[in-house]
Amino acid sequence: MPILDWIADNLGILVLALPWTWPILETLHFIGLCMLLGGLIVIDLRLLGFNRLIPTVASHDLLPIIYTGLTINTVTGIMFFIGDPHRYAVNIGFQLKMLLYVLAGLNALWYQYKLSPRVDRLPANSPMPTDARLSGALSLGLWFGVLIFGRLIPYVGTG
Amino acid sequence: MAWLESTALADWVRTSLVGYPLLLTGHSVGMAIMIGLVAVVDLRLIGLFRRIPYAALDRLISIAWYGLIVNAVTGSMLFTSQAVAYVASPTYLLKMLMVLGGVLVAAYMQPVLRREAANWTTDAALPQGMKPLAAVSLGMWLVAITTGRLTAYL
Repeated sequence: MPILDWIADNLGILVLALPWTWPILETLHFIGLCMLLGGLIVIDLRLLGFNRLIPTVASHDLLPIIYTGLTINTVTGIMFFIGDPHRYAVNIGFQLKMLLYVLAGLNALWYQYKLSPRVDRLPANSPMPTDARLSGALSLGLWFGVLIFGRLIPYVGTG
Repeated sequence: MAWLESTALADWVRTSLVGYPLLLTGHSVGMAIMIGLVAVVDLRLIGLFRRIPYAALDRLISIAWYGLIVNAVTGSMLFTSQAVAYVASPTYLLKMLMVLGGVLVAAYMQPVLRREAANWTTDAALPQGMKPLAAVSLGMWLVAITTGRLTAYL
């Protein structure tokens, strides 16, 4: 694909020029995923009814660390792609990871704009509505899927 | 260590098409659970996420232990595949030291949180040394992630 050739020829050098760039990006990607998933586990398990000592509104205090992790991983992830676009574009692990990433994003928007305004007004210790529990379960499943398919990228088929 | 590398398990981890990738994937899932949750606890003790009650933290460490179990199992199996090289690697040894330190801190913190955290009504009520300990824990886990990732480049 011409666009992939162009990226590889013009931008790839930015990522590949120094031998230590790639391991440093990988390390940042791992740190970012711990921030993203650590915060999400707390919010999602709370939606599923675990650890009711935490008011759902209070669990939103974790959003900044989640978004920081997401930003780190989106930036480093784009740099991986720029460094080796031909390998990623055709990799089934990468394609599935991106599909789950988009679905996880849509689920997060559903929670933030439709569910959260309602859930946050519930009195403490009231049971979670079914749709909020569903959204929490989807979030956990989709994001861990993103992690799993991402980790498998080096080992699965390319095309 | 050479004996460990020669076992059937080590051979399977090294040569099976699915063994190594699945163990690595399990290891990254366990890492996200263990370090992700311990980081939330540490950052809360340091002073972030102020609406989350201290009393809720001990249960987060309880879940984190599941991640540690996954990683002890997958990590031990990965270790067998290249045991001789790992024990001679300063990067790997530093990683294990940091993991051990981080685990000991979490194991110390959890009963303290369970016993006392309900009484910590304000930031100032934390026992002396709790915040520095949380910062040390966070630092050790960051070094553990970094040296763990770099172990792949030995």
